[in-house]
Amino acid sequence: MNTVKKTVSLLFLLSIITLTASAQCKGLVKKNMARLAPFTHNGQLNSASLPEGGVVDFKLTCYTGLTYRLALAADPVLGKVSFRVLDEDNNEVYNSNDDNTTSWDFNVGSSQELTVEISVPLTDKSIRGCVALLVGFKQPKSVGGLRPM
Amino acid sequence: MKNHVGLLAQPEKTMVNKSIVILIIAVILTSCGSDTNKNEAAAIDTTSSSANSKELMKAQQILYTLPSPVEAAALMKLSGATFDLSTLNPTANVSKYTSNESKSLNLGVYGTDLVYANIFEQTQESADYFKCANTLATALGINNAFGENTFQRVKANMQNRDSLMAIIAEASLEADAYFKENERPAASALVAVGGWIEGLYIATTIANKTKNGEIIQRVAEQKNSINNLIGLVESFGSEKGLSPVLGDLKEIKLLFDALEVKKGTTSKPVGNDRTPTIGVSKHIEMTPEQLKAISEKVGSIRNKIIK
Repeated sequence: MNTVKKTVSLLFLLSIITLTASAQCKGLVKKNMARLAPFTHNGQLNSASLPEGGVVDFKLTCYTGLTYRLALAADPVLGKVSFRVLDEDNNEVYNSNDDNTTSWDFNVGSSQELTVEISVPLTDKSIRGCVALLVGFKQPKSVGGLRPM
Repeated sequence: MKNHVGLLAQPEKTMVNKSIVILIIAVILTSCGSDTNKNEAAAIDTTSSSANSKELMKAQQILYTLPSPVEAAALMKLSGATFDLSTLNPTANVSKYTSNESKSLNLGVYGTDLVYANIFEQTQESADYFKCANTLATALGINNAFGENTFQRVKANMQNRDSLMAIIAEASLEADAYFKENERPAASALVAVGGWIEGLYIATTIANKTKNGEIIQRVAEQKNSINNLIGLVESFGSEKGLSPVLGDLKEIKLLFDALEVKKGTTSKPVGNDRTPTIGVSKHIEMTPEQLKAISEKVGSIRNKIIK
């Protein structure tokens, strides 16, 4: 009986954590949306709750003809979160540690799947926070660019 | 050190102690997920039985991001497509959808139709399709996404295509977030599937009518997306409504798998420093017969969704 009580309590606690984490992630995305300008946001909540040392891979299909912007947003408690981009042959084509920025614009030579790997640094403290990848795109001006409001 | 050794799903690992199981549940439950998303594989170090809880939290998640309807419509316009109302789901169909699964799938369908109407500057149709999205979103309990406030903003910006597109993207984010906050991520996946199928249906229909090589190539490029879409749906296991959808997607995948990919060299980033061009150089070949087979399969699945 005691075990059942403990399990129910644990699940209740976890569900509260889940809801809180999800709401925090949406808030983080909305707060950072302006960083995509003048690109159009893809309308998706690409986020994860990570602990110290945590890693998440986002699989992302990009199309030739559009220019993309990736913007990394992270809960400050996580410290210096970084991201790198791998092409479909797993070659690293970008690493945010190289230029110390949290956003990157690029085109693709041909349409393909990229992997964006976000890493939280290891620390001695036990921490958890939200990381989000904001994806924006824009068309060439010749066919009418899309501007955010 | 980020360790990724065995997969959690392996049956031989069922004897791990309770604390490890609890930690794994915590990792899975507290992941926000992306549109897309949830853990496909949470790989952890199981080689060291003395690993403390901090080590075990170093799980790697894989999340899937799909091309948004806004992106797909922009690509179609870029490729020279023109607007054809007859390819979209008739607005009168909106009252047919009674189950949560059909409402979610068709919220995706109407969302894509709304974006197409807007990007091709069809003001009245944009308003009509917004109302359909609003009807289904409200029925699913999402009041913030396509609700009255958003509708007023849409009306005020009806002549401003760019602003309208930004409002639609914002509404999509709200809908996506709503499903995740309310522990209905499978509904989010169904919306994504409905939107993707509708986008592919529109593209194949236009490709068949126009024989435009660039549009045909855009259809072929969906070979890149189908794996992500299946990965997304599979990540939710046997949740209600997903099994038939998964079967349909796998049938489409078989046809895309047959397309030949001609790969060039892997590129280092090139171009100016501000906007480099990256990635592997490749071209996906699709014969007229393959286009026909994909079009028929997608058309039949799409008709099943909207009926």
